[in-house]
Amino acid sequence: MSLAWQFFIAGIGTYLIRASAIVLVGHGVTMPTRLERTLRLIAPAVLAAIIANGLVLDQGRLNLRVSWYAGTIVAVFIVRRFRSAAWAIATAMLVVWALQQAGLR
Amino acid sequence: MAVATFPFGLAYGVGVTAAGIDRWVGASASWTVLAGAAQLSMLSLIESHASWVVIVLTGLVVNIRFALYSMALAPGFKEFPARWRYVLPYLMTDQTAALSLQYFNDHPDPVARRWYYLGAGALTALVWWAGTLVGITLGAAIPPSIDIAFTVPLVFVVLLVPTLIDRPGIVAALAAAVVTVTTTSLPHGLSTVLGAGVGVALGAVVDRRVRP
Repeated sequence: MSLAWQFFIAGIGTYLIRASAIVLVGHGVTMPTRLERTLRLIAPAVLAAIIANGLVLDQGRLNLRVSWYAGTIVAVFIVRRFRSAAWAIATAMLVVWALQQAGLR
Repeated sequence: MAVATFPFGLAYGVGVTAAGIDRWVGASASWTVLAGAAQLSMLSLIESHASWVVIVLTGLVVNIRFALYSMALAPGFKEFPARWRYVLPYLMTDQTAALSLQYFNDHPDPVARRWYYLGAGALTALVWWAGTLVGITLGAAIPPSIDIAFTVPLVFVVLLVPTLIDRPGIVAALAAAVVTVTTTSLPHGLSTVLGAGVGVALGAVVDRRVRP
């Protein structure tokens, strides 16, 4: 399956999810609160799984990069303190660059 | 709001060049999927050579939240002609849904509502596409001393932090991370799927205890 097809299929599926209730409108569809609360947990769980995969592993092997962890801590601090994604990304990249220039992994 | 979309689009574009896949194929996802977190998840799994089923399903699972927005927006869309109801969902993003729900509260006129949604959605999409294009163009020009492989996990960290607002969410995230790292011997990127699944399940258990 080529990558372009993978993105295309994911795009069609995403459109169907987006359109779901809007197109079915008037059918009185409601969702149980319990299910809705469970669905809200998907975002933190999936994001954390992807982060863990990206930060700790490299092609399935353990690969610990100290500079990345320092950058991550800085990003968390800036997002929490200043609520700015752009500044968090820029500063973290700068921290990683500086540490790697200094010889850290 | 749309301005905040630009750095994510940029990071995605740069991430595409870092992943070593065809730039235009990578960028095409910004038109077909049009959802930052899903695209970056897929990119991250492509880099770890996951199977295409895992890649596509992960993208869709990340986008399940759009079903919630769709449900929340549906009453406000009820008066729209059918063609608007079919076209507008394509432009749904976190920002567009949040802004429109707010706007719908004190604007009952369906014409004003759909133009507002269209404006917010189109602006966000244009900024996302612009960010992607600048990212794939700049990506190749970035000196090798800058570790662009870090941009993808970094963007996720920035997206994750605001979602950690209560104990169930924090438990879900921690469990997902621990399970993912400890099950890496699984093939096809399944450790990520398993991690996310266990995270959601444990988070739901905690949620049930916090709010029976």
